[in-house]
Amino acid sequence: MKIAVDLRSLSSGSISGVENYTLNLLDNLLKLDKVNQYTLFYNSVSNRQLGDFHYVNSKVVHSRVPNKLLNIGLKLKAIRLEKLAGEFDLLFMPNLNQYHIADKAKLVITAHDLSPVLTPEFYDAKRRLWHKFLNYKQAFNRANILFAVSEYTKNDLIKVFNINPEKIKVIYPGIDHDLFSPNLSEDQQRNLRNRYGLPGDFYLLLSTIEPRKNLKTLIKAFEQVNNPASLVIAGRLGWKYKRDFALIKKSKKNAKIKYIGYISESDKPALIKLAKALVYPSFYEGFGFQPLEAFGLGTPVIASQVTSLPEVVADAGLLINPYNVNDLTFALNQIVDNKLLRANLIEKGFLRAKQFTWQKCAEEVLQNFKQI
Amino acid sequence: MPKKIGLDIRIFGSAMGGIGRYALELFPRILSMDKNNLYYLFYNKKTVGPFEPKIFEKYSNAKLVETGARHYSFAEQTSFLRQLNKFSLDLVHFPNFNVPYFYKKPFVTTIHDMVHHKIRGAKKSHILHFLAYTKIIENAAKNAKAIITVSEYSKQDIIKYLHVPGEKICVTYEGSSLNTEVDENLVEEVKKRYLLHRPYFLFVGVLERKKNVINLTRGFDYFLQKYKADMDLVIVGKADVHYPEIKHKALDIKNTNRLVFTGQVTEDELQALYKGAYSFVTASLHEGFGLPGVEALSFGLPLLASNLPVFNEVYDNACVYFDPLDPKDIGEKMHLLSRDDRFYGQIQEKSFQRSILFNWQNTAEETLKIYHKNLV
Repeated sequence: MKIAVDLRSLSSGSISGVENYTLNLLDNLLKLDKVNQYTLFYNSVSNRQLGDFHYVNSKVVHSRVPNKLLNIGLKLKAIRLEKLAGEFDLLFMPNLNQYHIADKAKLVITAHDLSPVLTPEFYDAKRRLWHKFLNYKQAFNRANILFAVSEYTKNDLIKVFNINPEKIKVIYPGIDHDLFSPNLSEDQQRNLRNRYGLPGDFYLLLSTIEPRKNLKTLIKAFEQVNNPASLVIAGRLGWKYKRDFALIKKSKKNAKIKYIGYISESDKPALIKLAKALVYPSFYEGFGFQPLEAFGLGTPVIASQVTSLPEVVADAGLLINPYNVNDLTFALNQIVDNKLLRANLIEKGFLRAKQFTWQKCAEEVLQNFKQI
Repeated sequence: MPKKIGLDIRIFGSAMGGIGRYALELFPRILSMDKNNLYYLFYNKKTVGPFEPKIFEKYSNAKLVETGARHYSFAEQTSFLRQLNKFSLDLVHFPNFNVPYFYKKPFVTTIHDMVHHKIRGAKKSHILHFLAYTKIIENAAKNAKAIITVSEYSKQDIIKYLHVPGEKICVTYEGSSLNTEVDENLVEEVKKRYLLHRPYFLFVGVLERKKNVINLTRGFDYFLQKYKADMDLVIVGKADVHYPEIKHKALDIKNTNRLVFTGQVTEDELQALYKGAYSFVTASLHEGFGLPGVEALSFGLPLLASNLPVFNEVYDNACVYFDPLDPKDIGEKMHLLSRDDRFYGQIQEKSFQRSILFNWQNTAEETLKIYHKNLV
């Protein structure tokens, strides 16, 4: 079978959940599958090179059509993706993108989260327009198989788009256990502390600064915490972040809150490892990678009890109501002061993390390709 | 008839540095000892942080007076001056040299060191600031009944730069405020927090130029390279906002992984870090007293320090000295201390002995004597 894989989401250069998913899944899938032929295609006007995909059963195709032109061409059905990737039997999109393909071609899409549809208020106007342009409903109905990253996302798919449950397969993503391991080198951790001037004990919020991530509740809760730990915030600036920074500036614990900006992927494990606890009070996540990464490193986690997070975190972290400041304050105090609880969470975290591997994810994906 | 004595505690209104600490340790002790006189404490209403003037309320011989005048402000020269005059005080103690220019009644002032005269420090400091500083300090020195300073070395500097007769200057050593009874569990917890498994040298101080931290890490690097030593260097203190490059340069050594910059730490953490340290080290180029080293003495730590007259005076033989401008010498002296357990033990013994000299009760008693001598 000839399988085309859409790598267009990688061309932006920044690494987030979706890019991470695409890279890791593909790497494992291509190692595993010795039968099918893969064409990995992406489109960018610049000379950007994507990561190494040197496998005997795959080739990389780079087209250089201006993206806006391509997207409009596809939308108007004036051009097919076959034009870019060559003929294929199956198109796999690790994330929904603009597409137009031959009627006979099979289509598989991974659905990460439906927040653009369910909670558009968390997105700026430009991205709302883009999501409208994508037309989720039509794409998901055209797909022969939909991979959902969680049971939660599967339920949303059924509820919102009325999709036949039988064609939705829940396949959990994994984490890189070599990177997110309890044996992370201390040199790496020290280097990071020295470079960023990190405080001794700190809570960590590691996410793009935008309303969905609920920094507001965290700052209010942190103000009431009665131990000397600091709060470190890392992540790029998304949108509507000015309100959050105004809150920090006004805070009576201002001196204990440190924003260190965007942290590179390679620094991420050491940062999470140094933290006393990872805090993830997000209002919406299709799948929460970060709690799992923290589990792998042995850092206890506080996460929202909403959307997919209870399913991912299970009993290995403290779940809180993201709208309730006192709830979060209580958890912040407990997770540092209660030694027994900490030890228990760390142990459960290791066990939980082990259940999520990219190899398992790739095996299940391949299984579904075969059955199509 | 009780005398009226003024104490200037406006320093609590600004960031707590060494002088704030000095006033905080000294004045409550004086108030406890001297019940015969009446004290007026002038505080700044913009007081911030945990050091509130309220702590003085329990002393029946103390009266709190609010003032809006910050150091170097216009109000310091006008409204603060009027306030001082209104109370017709018999003596005022200014723990910093910021005495209103036209205050002509009896006062004593503490001048900690002449560092601003010796090193024209901050590149962002303006020439006008320096002129104002010079005028104020010269005037304070000239008109004071007595000048208190913290070391013989500083006394000589004051004589040299401010042309004051030596008889007018009294030396009172400072003490350590830290609690040396640290819970072993806390020490282990803090070591774990900063990933400290090896014996470590400890430096404490703001990362400003005169602290010479760059030579210190280079010397440490030389020590590790040449003697294959398995040790760490912990650097405690916040980075100077005017000189962020100091930290970058200090980190730029081969064994950068053996350095730990903790930034500013809590008092509990500081005590634990002293308690767990192998030795205290400073390559400072100028100090009026060297309080962190004295704190280290109270924990019985052997010291390694620049060969400066002030350190010779204060640390005496509880210290191994090096040339702060020569990283090789710094490294060699680290080796000298650590290669021989017996030698280390001897210095440690001297450190404990030396520490007895420095305590705030002594300082307070000496200071009170100075008040009495100048009350007529």
